[in-house]
Amino acid sequence: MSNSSDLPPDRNPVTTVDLIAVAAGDGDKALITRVHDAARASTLVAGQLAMFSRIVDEMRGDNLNEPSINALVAAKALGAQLHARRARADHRDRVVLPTFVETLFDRAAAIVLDWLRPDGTPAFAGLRDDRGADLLEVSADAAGFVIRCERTPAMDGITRLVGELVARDDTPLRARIMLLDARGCSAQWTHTDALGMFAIALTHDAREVVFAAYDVNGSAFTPVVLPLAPRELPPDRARESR
Amino acid sequence: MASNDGDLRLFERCRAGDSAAWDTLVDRYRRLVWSVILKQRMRDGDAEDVFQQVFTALIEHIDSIRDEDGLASWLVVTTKRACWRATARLRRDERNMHSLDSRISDDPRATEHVDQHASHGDAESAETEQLLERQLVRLGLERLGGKCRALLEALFGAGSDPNYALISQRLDIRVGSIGPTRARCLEKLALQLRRLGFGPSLPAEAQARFADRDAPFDASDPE
Repeated sequence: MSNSSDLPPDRNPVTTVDLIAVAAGDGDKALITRVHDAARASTLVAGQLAMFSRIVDEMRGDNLNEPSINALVAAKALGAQLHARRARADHRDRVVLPTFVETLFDRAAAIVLDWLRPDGTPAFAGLRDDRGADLLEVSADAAGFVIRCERTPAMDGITRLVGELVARDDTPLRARIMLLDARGCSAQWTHTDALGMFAIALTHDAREVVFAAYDVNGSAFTPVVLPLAPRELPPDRARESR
Repeated sequence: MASNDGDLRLFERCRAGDSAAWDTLVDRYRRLVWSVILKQRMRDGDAEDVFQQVFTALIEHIDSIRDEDGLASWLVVTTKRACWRATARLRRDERNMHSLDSRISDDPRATEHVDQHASHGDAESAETEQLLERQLVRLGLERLGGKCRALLEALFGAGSDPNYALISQRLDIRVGSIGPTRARCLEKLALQLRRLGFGPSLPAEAQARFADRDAPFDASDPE
């Protein structure tokens, strides 16, 4: 390696392009020598070279830190909780529609169920059949997919929400189904399988269910948040609804 | 970490129920969280669980986090703790599998390695610094955006020996232009990063020269 101090500076300039080429690791031997000589002779050049090298080092191989698509989609699906959180805040000071899903579930005979979206529009409608299961179907227009499910008490004493998620063309969808507690925290969650089927145990503290679906490319549909438990009513409205 | 108004705005939007802002937040920090998980050598399924736990913790604390500038550090610490807890749980499960006495699950020694991890002060600190520096570069790239970001990620993201022909085709850049474009983009990125607090500040003279990429550096530059 030559000593740069032996060379007149104007015959031995290094440009930013040179520094970057060396920092990127693809300069030829002569260029590397020239740049390193310049760096030894000047802290300014050395500082620039060190900075570019550090930046390149930090970028190099960073694709390996990319999480799996499943992990990413699931994390993004958590954003649905923000909707629920906001919806709860919005509903706090408004008249809350008397939607007693649990009560309706528990009534005997065939009755039409209304399961409201957070904005108050009907989402679920279904019949309770003689087997004791509540059959529910919702077409989530805004979200662009259909949820079919039933609430079934099983032999083990656990009541589960069992069903499927399909796109409008009836193809199965991958989705994450989450139960949220009263604080909007994730109480339990599961994924649909390859056929779009799912089963999730309904816990006592579950207040809302979130359906966050995504297609094979990982593109997320708008999440759907539905209430599971009786909404709190202002005392006067609660009396009226009795 | 440097000030980052982007996070502040995203937090405000998240608190207002904007899930698109949440997506951006997840995208911004996904690699930081995942890299911490990888360093802790979590298995695939466990890694996904931890990833989920960390972002669940973030969303649960979104109303209470006030130091948005420290989010990267918070995520690193939260992820490490989640990994340690998961590892402790796995070890307990393994012990339970091999032990006739299920009470071992309550044995405080089951979490002793957590304390061991936590006690590696200096090494932990250096590792965290490196993680945060890399996150700063990601943030710089995000702010750079456009073709420059795409080119730099394509050239360096995969590791060594980038395929210039493929990059040329994908980004619609002539192979001969990749080198000069890379230099311009790296300069822009360096400027972004300096604004974010990356590396030591340079003298004004150097910054002025730095802005003109064809200006030669004089090897006998006075210090």
